[in-house]
Amino acid sequence: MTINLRVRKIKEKIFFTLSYISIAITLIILGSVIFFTFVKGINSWSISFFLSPQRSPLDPNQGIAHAIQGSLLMSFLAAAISTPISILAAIYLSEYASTAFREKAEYILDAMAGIPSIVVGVVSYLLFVLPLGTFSAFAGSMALAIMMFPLMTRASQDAFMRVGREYREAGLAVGLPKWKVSLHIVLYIAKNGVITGFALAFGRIFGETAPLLMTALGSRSFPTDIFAPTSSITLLIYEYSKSPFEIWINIAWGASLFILIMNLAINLVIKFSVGDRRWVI
Amino acid sequence: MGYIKIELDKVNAWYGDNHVLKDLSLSIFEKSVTAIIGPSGCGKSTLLRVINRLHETVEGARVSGRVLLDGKNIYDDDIDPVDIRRRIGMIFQQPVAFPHLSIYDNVAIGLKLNGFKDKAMLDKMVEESLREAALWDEVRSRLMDKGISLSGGQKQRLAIARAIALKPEVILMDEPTSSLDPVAGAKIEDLIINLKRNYTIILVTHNIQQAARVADYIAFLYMGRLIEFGPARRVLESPEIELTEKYLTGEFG
Repeated sequence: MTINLRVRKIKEKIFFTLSYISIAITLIILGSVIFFTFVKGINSWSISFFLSPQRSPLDPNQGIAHAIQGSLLMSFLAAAISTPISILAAIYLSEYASTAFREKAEYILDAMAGIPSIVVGVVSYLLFVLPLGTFSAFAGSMALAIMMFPLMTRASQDAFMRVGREYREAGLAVGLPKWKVSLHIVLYIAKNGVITGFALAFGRIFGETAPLLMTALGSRSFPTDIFAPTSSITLLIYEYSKSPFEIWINIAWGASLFILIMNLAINLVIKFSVGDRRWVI
Repeated sequence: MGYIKIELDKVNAWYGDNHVLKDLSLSIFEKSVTAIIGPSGCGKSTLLRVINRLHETVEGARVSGRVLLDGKNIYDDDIDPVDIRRRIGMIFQQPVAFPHLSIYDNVAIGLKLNGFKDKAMLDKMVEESLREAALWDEVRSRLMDKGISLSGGQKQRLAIARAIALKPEVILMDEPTSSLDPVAGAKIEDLIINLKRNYTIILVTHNIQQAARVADYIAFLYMGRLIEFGPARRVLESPEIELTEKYLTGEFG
């Protein structure tokens, strides 16, 4: 008995230690990513880093302003396209679809959310670059919208389906047509879940590179035309970090730090605006 | 006996393969309280949900037979269920206060979203509805607070005010006091007795004492069939059917 007890205690200790080491490794890796990005990136931050566009690789007074503008332009355009469609699609799935259809659609959307982003890039190239004859911010936005759509649709649908049936019935019982119940009751009650889904999807596309390589291509200057090649922060990081120029490589680190902080900031802002304590970063 | 407001004629209802109501025929008299009693799962709630066409909103639910409101079948093709639900209000077992709306808007929602715009008129109707639901004095100073800040009994009266605001002809109540404490429940019962002056009320209850206190008529349902129907006192004191008597004396339930 005592031997058994001792063995059991040792097993417990081994399991505890393994799980403890695992979480330590995870946190150390994550921490070192943040640490290195910060140490390597913070030095390139300056006024011109945020206000100037790309210049000659030897000019120290240059920055990523054109890429920030391109990223914001394409991300917000993608969000503007996919948000209403996602919410309406989610309403259809949770309020109107039969169980059989809903389950099939969920399967497809979940699969779609897992498609490698380079594939989305290639498809968007065929759909939006070839017909228009040019790489463009528009094609980039469409690629990002395609990435955002399944994430936001599923998150919104889950939020809608968590709204109790009693609220829908109470709405129907005062003579509201179903579409008004969906829009004025279910959507409002599920608002926080929809916002959270939006934030996750937006954070995801804001850091995407592969779909933009094939669609927006990149550019040296500020975006002026959504039907022209456009830069993004991630495209700039990709291009600069491969380059042989020290100034550009440093800017790539600075841009990496910027995008890391942007993502943390998006999550924090949403977290506090929603007041949802379960949802930390 | 009075004017027949609603008449059910051989109503059958299903949830998928589950045959819940079987050839049920019943008359509901105007401006009276009809209590529907019977053991759990006998089809009481389904009966209510058939009357305001809420039953069909559940996937796989079906209805056959006729439900006549003022002599017109509400299941005719030219009838919009939304219009029926404006004429027939409903109160649920679990009091519903919309969490995103103020007390005021919880009452006004049916009017507002049905296109009612006149602000002064809306204020007046909200106040009248809250007064009629015996809630006005408790909430008059905090109409803009969220509806969920109310207690359970207050929420139920809020739900009644929301139904009344649409000036319905009939109010369906599905065990409206079963989730409330006895004091809050007694207030709802008093309210039901007052409301029958203006509305036809159908009350589902598993509480025979409650039926005795508020009902003018009682319908006893068992396994989806109407077993007995009549004036409340007659059904309670001298049931004609043995099954009713067994239920009333607590032999099953």
